[in-house]
Amino acid sequence: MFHLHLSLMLGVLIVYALGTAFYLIALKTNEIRWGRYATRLTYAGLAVHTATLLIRWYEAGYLPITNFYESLSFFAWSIVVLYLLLEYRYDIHSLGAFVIPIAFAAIFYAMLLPSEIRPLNPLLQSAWFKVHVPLSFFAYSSFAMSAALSVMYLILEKQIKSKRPHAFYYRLPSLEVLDALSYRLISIGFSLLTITIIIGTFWSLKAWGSYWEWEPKQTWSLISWIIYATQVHGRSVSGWRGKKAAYWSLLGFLTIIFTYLGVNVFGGGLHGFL
Amino acid sequence: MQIVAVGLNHKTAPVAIRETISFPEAVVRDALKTLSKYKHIKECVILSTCNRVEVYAVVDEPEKGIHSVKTFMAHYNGKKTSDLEDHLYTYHGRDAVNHVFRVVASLDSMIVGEPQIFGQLKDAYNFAFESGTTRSIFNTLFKYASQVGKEVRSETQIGKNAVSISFAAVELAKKIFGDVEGKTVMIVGAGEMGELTARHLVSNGVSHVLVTNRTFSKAEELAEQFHGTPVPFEKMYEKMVEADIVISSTGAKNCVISKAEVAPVLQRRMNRPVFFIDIAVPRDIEAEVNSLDNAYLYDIDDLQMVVAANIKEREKEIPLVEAIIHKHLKAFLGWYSSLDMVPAIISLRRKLDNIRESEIARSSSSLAKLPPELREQVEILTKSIINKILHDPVTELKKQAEHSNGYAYVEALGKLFNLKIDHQEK
Repeated sequence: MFHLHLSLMLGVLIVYALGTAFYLIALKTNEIRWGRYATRLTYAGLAVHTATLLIRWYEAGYLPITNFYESLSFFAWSIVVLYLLLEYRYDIHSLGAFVIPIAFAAIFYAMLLPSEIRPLNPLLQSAWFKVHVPLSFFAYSSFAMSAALSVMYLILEKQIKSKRPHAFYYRLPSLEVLDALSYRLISIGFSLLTITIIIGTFWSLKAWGSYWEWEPKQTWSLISWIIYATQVHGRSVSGWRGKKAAYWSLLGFLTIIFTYLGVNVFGGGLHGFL
Repeated sequence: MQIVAVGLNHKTAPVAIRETISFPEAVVRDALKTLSKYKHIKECVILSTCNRVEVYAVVDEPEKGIHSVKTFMAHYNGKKTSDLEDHLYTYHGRDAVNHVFRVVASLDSMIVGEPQIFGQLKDAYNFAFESGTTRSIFNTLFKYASQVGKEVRSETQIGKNAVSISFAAVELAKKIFGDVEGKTVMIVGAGEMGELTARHLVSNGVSHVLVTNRTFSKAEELAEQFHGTPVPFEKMYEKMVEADIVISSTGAKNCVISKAEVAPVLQRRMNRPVFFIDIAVPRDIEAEVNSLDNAYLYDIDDLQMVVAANIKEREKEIPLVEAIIHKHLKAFLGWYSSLDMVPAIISLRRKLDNIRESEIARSSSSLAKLPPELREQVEILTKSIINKILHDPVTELKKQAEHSNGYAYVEALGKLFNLKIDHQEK
C-alpha cells in the first residue's frame, strides 16, 4: 500500500509537470487545443491526487495532514481544486500557467521529505484538528491564487501602461477582472483564516491551557491576518484597488509563505510539526 | 475538366485599373450569363470587391479557358485584353483551388484576417448558383470553401485583435475594464474620430455618454445623437469623475486636459481606472497623465503601435490557417480526382478499343483469309491483350482515386494518351 501511495504521488508529480508545460504552451501559442489538453491533464492529475489522499487516509486511519509531507500534498491538492473551480467558472486558462506550477513545486518538495506513516501525535487526536487544519490550507490556497492573479495584474498593467503589447497582453483577461477576482479570493481567504484562527484559539485553550501562546506560527498568522484585514478594510473604505491592492496581496502571500514554510523550516514553537 | 482562377487584386493592379474592371451586384448576373457562353467555359463564379476581381471557372482546356476568361474580363468592361495582361494572375488545377481557399480564409486580403471576404465569396457563389452557372464541381468546391472560412474563424484567432485605430481603442478599453457594459464615456471636443470611437464603444455596451465642448451648443448637438448628457466646458473635471473612458478630439492648439487637474479626479474616483484616448493632433491631453496610477493614456501614435502589434499577432496565426486550408484542399482534391477517374478510365479503354478495332479493320482483307474460328480467336486475343495491359494501371488508378493526388494521375493519363475526358460521362 505504501509503495502504491508513493508511485501514485510520482504520477501526480508528472501529471502536474505536464499540466504546467501545457498551460505555458497554451499561454505562449494561444492555441485553443493546448488549453484544452492542459485542463484535461489537470483534471486527471486531481483525480489521481485525490485517490492518493484517500489511500493515505485509509492507511493511516486519520486525516493525513499531520506532518510537513502530508500538508504539502494537501496544500497542492487544495490549490488544484480551487483553480479548476475558477477555470470552470471564469474560463480563465491563463491562470493555470501561474498556479499549477505552485502545485507542482509543492508536490516536488513533498517527495523529498520523509513520508512514512507514523502514529498520530496525541495532540492531533481532536475534532478541532479536522477543521482547523483543512481550513487553514484552503485559506493558504486562496491567498496563493490571489497572489498569482496579482502577478498577472501587474504584468498586464505594465504592458498597458508602457503601450508595448506582448504575449501577455493578448492572453490575459482584463485588468478589472484580475483585480476583482484577486480581491474575491482575498475575502474568501481572509474569512477562512479568521475562522481558522478563532478555532485555533479554542483548541489552544483546550490543548495548551491558554487562548494565545505567542508561538511563531500564531504570531505570523496574526501578521498575515492584519495585512489582509488592512487590505479588505482599505478596499471597502477608500477604494484600494489596482496596483496597490496587487502589491498588498503579494505582501500578504509572502507572510503566508513564512507562516507556513518559514516556521516549519526554521522550526520552533508548539506548531513545529506542521 | 480543369478549375482555373483568373484575377487581379490590390497587389497586382492599381486602383485606376481595379475601378475599371468590376462586376457590381447590378450586372453580375448578366456578366455570368455572358461568360458562360464563351468557349471552353463549363462553370463560372465571379467575385468582385473593391480590392479584387476574380473569375473562377471550370474549363475543358486550361490555356484556352484562361484565354476566354481574360477576353471576357476585358471586353465586358470595354477594354482590350492587352490592357489587363500585366495585372492578371492565373492559377489552374490544384493551385486554383488553393487560391480560392486562401481568399476565403482572408490570407490573400490586404488586411489578413478581415472578415468581409468570407461573405463576399459566399455571395459571389450564390449569384452564380442562382444564375445556373455552377454545377457539381463548383457546388462542391464552394461548399468546401465555406467550410474553410468557418473553421478559420472558429479555430484560429486570425480575425481577432483590431487593426483599425478606433477598434483598437475599444479593445484596449475592454482589456482594462473587462466589459464596457454600463461604463460611462466622456467625449471632449467634436472631432470625427472621437465620435466614431464613441460610437463603437456605445455599440459595445457603454451605457452613458457625456459630451463637453467649448461651444456648449455643439456639445448639446452631439449629446443628442448619443442620447447622452451635454456638459458645460467649465464643469468638465467635475463630471469626469463619472467617466471611465475619456475621448478627446478637440481642435485646440494646446493641452486641454492636464495632469494637475486629472490627479484629484482619480482620487475622487476611489482609484477606479480611467482610460484616456487622445485622438487629437496636436494632442489634447498632457502626456504625463499616463504616469498617474490607474490612468491609462493612449494617443494616436500609441494606438497605431497597438495596431501594428495586433497585425503581427494575426500573422502568427497564419500557419494554423494554412493547416486548415491544406486539410480541406486534400479532401476536395480527393473528391475531385475520383470524379474524373472513372471517365478517364472509360476514355482510356475506349481509346484502346478504337485502336484495336481500327487495326483489325485495316487487316480485314488478310484476316478474311483465316477460317472463322481463327478469326474469332484473333478477336479474343486482341481483347485479352488490352485487358491485360489495362489491368494494373486501372487497379492503381482506382486506388489513387481515394487520395488527393489521384488528380495528378488523371492529368498525366490524359496527357500521355491524349485523352478527351468528359466527366459528365460518369
